[in-house]
Amino acid sequence: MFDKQYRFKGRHAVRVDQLTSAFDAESKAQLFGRNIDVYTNAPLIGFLYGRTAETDDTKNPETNQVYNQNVMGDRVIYSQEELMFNFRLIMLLDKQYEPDEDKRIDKAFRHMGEDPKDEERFDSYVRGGVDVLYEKLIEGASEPDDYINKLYEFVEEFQDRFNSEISSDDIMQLCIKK
Amino acid sequence: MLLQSIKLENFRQFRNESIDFADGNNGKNVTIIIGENGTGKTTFAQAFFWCLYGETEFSDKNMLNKVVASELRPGQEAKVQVVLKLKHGDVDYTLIREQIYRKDSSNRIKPDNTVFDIAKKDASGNTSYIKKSACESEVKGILPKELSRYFFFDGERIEKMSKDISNGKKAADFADAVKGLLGLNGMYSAIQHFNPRVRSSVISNYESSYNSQSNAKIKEYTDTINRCNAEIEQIDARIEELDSEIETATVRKSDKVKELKQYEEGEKLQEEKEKLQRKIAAAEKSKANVYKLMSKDFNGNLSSFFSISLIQRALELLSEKDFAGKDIPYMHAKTIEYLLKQKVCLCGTHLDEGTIPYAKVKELIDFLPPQSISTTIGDFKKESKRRAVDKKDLYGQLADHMAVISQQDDDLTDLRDDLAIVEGKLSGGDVRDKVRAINHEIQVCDQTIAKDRSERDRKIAEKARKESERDRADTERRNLTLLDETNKKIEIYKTYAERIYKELLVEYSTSEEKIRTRLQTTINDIFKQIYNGGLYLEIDEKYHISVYVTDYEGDVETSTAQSISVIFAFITGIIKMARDNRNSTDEDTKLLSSEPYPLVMDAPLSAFDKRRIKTVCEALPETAEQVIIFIKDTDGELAEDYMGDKIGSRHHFDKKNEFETTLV
Repeated sequence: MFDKQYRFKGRHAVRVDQLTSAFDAESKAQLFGRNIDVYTNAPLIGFLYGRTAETDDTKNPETNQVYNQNVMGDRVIYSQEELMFNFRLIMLLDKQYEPDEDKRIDKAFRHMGEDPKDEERFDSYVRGGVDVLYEKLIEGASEPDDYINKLYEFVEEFQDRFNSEISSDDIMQLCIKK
Repeated sequence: MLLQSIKLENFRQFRNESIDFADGNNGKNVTIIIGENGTGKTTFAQAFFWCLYGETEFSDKNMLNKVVASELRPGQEAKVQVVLKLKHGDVDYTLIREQIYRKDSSNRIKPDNTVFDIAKKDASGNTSYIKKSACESEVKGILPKELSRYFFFDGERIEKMSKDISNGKKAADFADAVKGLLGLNGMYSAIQHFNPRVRSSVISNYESSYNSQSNAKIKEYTDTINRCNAEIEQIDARIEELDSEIETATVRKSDKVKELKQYEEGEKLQEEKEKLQRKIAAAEKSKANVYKLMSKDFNGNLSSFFSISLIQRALELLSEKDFAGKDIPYMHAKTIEYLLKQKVCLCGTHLDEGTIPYAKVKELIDFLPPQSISTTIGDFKKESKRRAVDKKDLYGQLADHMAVISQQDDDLTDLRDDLAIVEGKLSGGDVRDKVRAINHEIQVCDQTIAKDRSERDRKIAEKARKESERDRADTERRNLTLLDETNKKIEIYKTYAERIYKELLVEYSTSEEKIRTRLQTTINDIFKQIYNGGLYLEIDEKYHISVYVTDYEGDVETSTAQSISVIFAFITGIIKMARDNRNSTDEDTKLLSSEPYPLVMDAPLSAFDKRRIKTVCEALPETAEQVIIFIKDTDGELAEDYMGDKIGSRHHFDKKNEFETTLV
């Protein structure tokens, strides 16, 4: 698992391209530095926003090929631990996918990645997350100011919605608990 | 000319209305007609124009009352009529203008040409009718259209006239008006009657009646004189052209010099503009740097920021479970596999497939490495801890950056506003180009002026040569004509005529100058009366008017009320002088008198404040023989207060609807 190249396809490929392009010509600033950054974080966002998506096969009218964005294999392997961690988080918490708590724990740890459906579930959150990121960060923006404002609004919203009650201390406490 | 009455029939919103005007009987010479805006004051005033000249200033040239028009059936016709009665000299005139409107089969209203009739009753009571063909010229004799605007005028026109008068645009018109109204026209006609330059004049006639039979030379000299005169005329025309070109160029140059002065400041502005542009570029760059920082912070904190809430939830879930006790210390899954393969436990129990002991031992594999859950969970917690430690306040960081950006935006807005102001002053382009362009224009003006002046000098010299050539020929011819009896007689007559012409010219220019000076004094008196500020007027020989503030030096920019006062004083001044001349005991002055004229004014007081209205109201009936004022309700009350004992006739417009107004 997470040991080979990953492909974004169709509209998700287009959106990943937009998320990783420079939005300001002067500073060359990007929202996401690399495709792998989108790949590692999108599933968390997809899961948190409850968004999954099927693979898409929108074609580039010029080449008549399905749009495609690669995350190279070595990049994936390099980020394997992060990806596995994120995978475990989702498997542990996705009650909709698996209501039984012990089974979720097994999917996250004991039998991680054994069921191909688990990975498919994870991938659908990747795609859903890409859609959310596109809507939050790209859609409707044209000027650098727009992108920056959208980024700030998204981070602000995310902070309010998910992170406002979280503290590092609580997490440390939970970590040392036997 | 004094107005006696006017009667309107189907004229615009007036179905059948008439007014008698106060004409000075019992010392009452003011007629006041009060009506709110839109009741038809202006229409009524325009009726005078229509009757006299067949014209109005309405954009809709259809005079027929709209109700009458709509009641017409196809094929029917209706009449619009204005009857104006007036007294001019000793003669009573009745002027009738009519226009027939017909509705055609497609319901369109079409007017015929207007029909104009004049009946006049002379001092002895004889009534006669003017031939149709002579009516227009009869009106011209009473009040030429060019002069009418000095007597029938409304607020807007006053404003336009005062602008024209103060910038000298209509100076020539004013000059004509003054000459016409102050009785110089008769003398002017006499001058033209003698003017040797006019082909049919007395002197010209003598010129062409020499008998050249007696001496061939006479014809030659006459030809020379004629040729010289023709050439001199051409030269004069050219000089006049050149003068006007020089004047135009001079005015243009002075405008451009003024403009250039504004632009001198412009070079400074240009530098300021460039400085602002540099500042804006720098501010934009530093803003871009903040963008870069924001994106860097965001990317650096992605995994913690997006996962931290999930981590907490996951840890909470895991904390409810106890995985620790299930693990078997220091054993490996391989150990169990070995025992199962040997089919004997460490305690000696047989482990046969399918037996309970076999199943119990096999279950242990789940709690041993590599699948021992507590180890993986331990790793998971380690990563959780790392992310919790790494977790930075991304939102706070971005908020700080946003605060910086917001300040930068404010600065940029200020800078851009400043730039816009500077650019506005520079009207966009580079001011140095403008300055160059203006300088070029000034140069062109200078060249034109220099060129025209030198041509004018040449022309003047040429004219002098032509004049001496002509005079030589004239002397020679005189010598020859005296030899012939007929020619000698002509010569004597012509000399008389020339002398009369010269006298007339001198007399005219003295009279004209006197009138101008008196006009200036009269106007200043009136002007002071209605405008008691320290202001006075000056009229130069070309009838340019300058307004001066006595407290300060120089020409002042006149405010609307001020400039209206100027034109007001100008007109009442002319009328007053005409009146004074007529009433003078000095026979010479009486010669320069003209008819009295009425002042018909539409809303003349609107531009003035209350105090000024009082002074205007008091001045008006004193200066003009007859005053007819159309006025708004509010101004009307004031006017009635101030002119009460002068008001001989008073009317009020009652607007029934958009298409009908009656007089009460």
